[in-house]
Formats: sequence, C-alpha cells, structure tokens
Amino acid sequence: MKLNEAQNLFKKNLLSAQADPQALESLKPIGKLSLEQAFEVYHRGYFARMTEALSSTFHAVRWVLGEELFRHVARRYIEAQPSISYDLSDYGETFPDFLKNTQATKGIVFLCDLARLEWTLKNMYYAAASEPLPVERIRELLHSEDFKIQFIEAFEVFESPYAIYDIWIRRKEPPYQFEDINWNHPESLMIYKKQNKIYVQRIDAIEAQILSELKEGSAVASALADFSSLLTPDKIAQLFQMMMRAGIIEDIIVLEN
Amino acid sequence: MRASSLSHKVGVGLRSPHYPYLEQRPSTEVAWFEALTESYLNSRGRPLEMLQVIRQDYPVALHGVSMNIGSPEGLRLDYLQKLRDLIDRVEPFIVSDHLCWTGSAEFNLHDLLPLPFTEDSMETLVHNIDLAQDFLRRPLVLENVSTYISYRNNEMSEWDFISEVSRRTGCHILLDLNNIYVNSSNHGFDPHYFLNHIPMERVAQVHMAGPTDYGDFLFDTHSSDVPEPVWQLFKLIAPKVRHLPILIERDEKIPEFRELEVEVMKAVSILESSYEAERSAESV
Repeated sequence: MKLNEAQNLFKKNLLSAQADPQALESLKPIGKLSLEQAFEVYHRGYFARMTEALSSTFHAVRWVLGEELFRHVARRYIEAQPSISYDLSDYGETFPDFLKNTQATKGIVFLCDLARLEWTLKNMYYAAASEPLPVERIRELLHSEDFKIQFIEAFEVFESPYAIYDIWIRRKEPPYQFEDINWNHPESLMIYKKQNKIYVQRIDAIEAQILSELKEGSAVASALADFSSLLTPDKIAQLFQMMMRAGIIEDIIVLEN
Repeated sequence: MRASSLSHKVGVGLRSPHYPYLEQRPSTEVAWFEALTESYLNSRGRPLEMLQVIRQDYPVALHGVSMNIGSPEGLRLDYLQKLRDLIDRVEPFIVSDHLCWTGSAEFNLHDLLPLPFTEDSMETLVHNIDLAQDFLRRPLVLENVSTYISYRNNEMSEWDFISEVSRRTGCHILLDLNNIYVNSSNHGFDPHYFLNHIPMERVAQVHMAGPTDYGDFLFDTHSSDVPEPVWQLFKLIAPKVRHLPILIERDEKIPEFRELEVEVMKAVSILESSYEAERSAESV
C-alpha cells in the first residue's frame, strides 16, 4: 500500500471510529486495545480538539446553548466542515451561518449575530495595534473641504437587529441567565483596538452607517450628505471627536477639487 | 525580566495563561521559551506582541504541529513562507516540528499521526525535509511522536527509522522522552533499547511532559507533571544531553508558572548531578 493510500485509509477509519476490513489487514492497535478502540482514541481526540477550538472562540454561544447542546451542534458542524487551515484558531469562520441554518439552533434568532460578534472579536485579538494619526494633525486636516479617512486595521463597525453585547458581557455567569436580558432591539457597536486593548462601544444607528460608509472608502462629504437632514453641526463634531478619542484614524487623504 | 538560572538550558513552553504574569517581566528559573509556531503565523496581535516581549529577554525556539512533513502531497508553500517570515522576525535558535503526518490540504486533522516505517515513507520525508530545509535555510529538528496504532508493513523499528531520516536529510532529532515512555508502554518495547539506538550526536533538543494513564494505555496529553519513569529516562541520558536545550512541556491543565519552575529546577538539578557523578567516577 502506497503512503497516500495508507493515510486515506487511516483518515477514513479515524473519522468513523471504526476499523474496516482493509484497516484490519494493514494496521495493528497498541496493547490490549482492539483496532476499533485505537481509532476511537484518535477519533475522540479529533472531535475534542475541534470542539475546543470552537468553544474557545464562541464562548458566549456556548453559554447561551449550554454545554450539552453546544457539543451537539459543534459535532454536527465539525462533521460538515473540515479545517483547511494550519492554525486551529482559524476554525469556525462559517459557524455563525451554520447556527442560523441548523434545526437545533435556528429558533434562537440572535445566535448567528452573537457568533459573528465573537468571530469579529477573535480577529481583533490577532490584528495589529496600529498607530493612529496624531490628534493635532487630524484637527489640521479636518479644515479641508473634502477628504477620505483611512482607518486602522483593528476597527470594525458591527450592526445587529439584536442587542447581543450584553449577552456577550455576561457569558461567564451561570447558564441560562441570558433569558433575563432584553436583547430584542437593534444595536450598533464600534469595535477597535487601542494600545493593545480591545474596546467595544455602543453607537447609534446613524453613526454606524456613516462610519461604515467611510470605512468602505466614501468621501466625508458624500457620507454625511446621506444623513444631512438628521445631522447638526454639533452632532458631526461629536462624531469626529469620538473617532479621535478612539484612535481609529490612521490617515486622512485630502481630496482635490 | 531575566532568567536567574542560566547554568543549564532548561526552558518551558510559552502558553497564553502565563502572559499576564510574564509581561511583568519577572525574574524566572527558565533559560528559554518554546513558542507554538502556528499560534504566531497569522497573528500580529496579542500573541505576537507577547512573543516579542519574551524575545527581548530570552532565547526562543519555534515548535510547530502543522508542517505535515510526512505528507505525500508535499508541503504547503504558504505555510513555509509564513514560517520563514516568523523566523526572520523572532530569530529562534531552533525550528522544530514532528515526524508524522497531520492530514491533507483539504482536511487538516490537527493531530500528530503515525507514519509507516517504510522506504516509501522515508522517500516522502527526505523530499519534504530537503524542501523545508532549503526554503528555511536551516536544519529542521523533528520530534518522535506518541502513537496508538502501528502499520503491519513496517520495515524497520521506530528508532532505526528516526535515525535513518536524520542521517539522510541532515535534520536533527528532538527527543521527546514522554513519547518514548508512552510508546514503550503502549507498544511494549524497552525504552532503554530505544535510547541506546538513537545517535545522540544527532539530537538537538529534549522534551519532557506527563501523559494520562487510561488503564489500558497511556495517552500523550501533556496534562500532568513529568512522571517518575520519564525523569528516570532523563537521568539516564543526562550526561549525553546536558549541553542541549531541555524543555518542560505542558499543554493542558496548565498550572501556575511557578509550578513549572519547580520542574525546571528539578531538571537543572539532575543535569548538575550528572557532572558530580562523572567527577566522582574520575576521582575513583
């Protein structure tokens, strides 16, 4: 048997935790174990590692579901979605959508967004903490007629029809306490890293939409124009103050007329 | 932060539960740290920042679990490229991985799986190790792994296989005493025989850890203190490896950093005793 055939055979039996006739012919277990029991050792190890990887990223999802249901859902996901990355912490990018579509969890309407939030926070943890543009320099450039804002890498705008941040905050409390949380209203968050620390700040829906447009590359004049009837000069000044305080502006690109 | 005991090169694995303690840069009994390669390949955040803090005060080794050196599909070049970038950034004194396979390109099993000890495996390994060493411009150090299944078509013993891979490729051996203990117990061989048939001049590093005893078999979990049989193997080879970097490994049930330092001090004490035993023998 060639090496690639041997590895395919091993993988097939590891995933099924069974020893098929071909495996019995070519492999032998240790000590007192049967070959099936020996594959069970690898099988359990595989599911334990992948479940641990999901659990470590989606701690709040686990808290909401409880240990047993989380393990059940994680197992179904692991069976459906192999890891292709060499880094286990990359595992679970499609877990939020899986939660939305799987029978066992689709009744918990906020769960997909809670998982999306946790994935965003995981990415923030691994993102570089960039140096923001000094506030004095930003103030100078703000006088320009029109400009675009380049944000630091570790900055995200997060919007959801459900207020899930409170659920995330309480993920270390005893199980099922989320039932006391009023999550059934929209929420917008600004998530960013400043001096190596991750911050989550609630913002209003208009601020979220303006920041999203700016992040996508719109010029400031265009992003603000969409909300001109709702914005006062004070409100605009507050928005820029908030961005400067957060340290999320990496550069300002002045646009020529 | 400074290592207070530099007389012997005993280190520990760098693990995230210890970050808050280590970033205060305390004085420790540890001479070096081993970092898990894959935790830093895609990171420019907290893990990498911490590794760079540690690197200011200690030598660092990189220890991988996903190179998949035994894959007949060949190695992932994106992995090697990122590893080379990390090497340039961290300047590790050792870059190691495991003598095993871990899955395929479309299905990473994230485990250290056994290879058949055959000429076919050897050819795959020689090809992959040559490629990795050329790409990384340095010799690899490869570790023997714990296994729970073996192949009926093995053409040689594990120790002969490891020795031959090292001889043909120039790679070094990372001798994991826990894995030798686990395999000797599970597969039923004499660990001394294993150690006697490994070319010690090819060994570049030693690992020690503790497995879990499931009654019917030992499982390589790195979840407990180094057990006495592993310390006994260490005492046996101490005169031959005392110039090498030695590592206390812990991946589960990670204790307070100070508890790991107790094991570091025990290893240092065994290494120092090996000198004394030699001096006594000379005076006789």
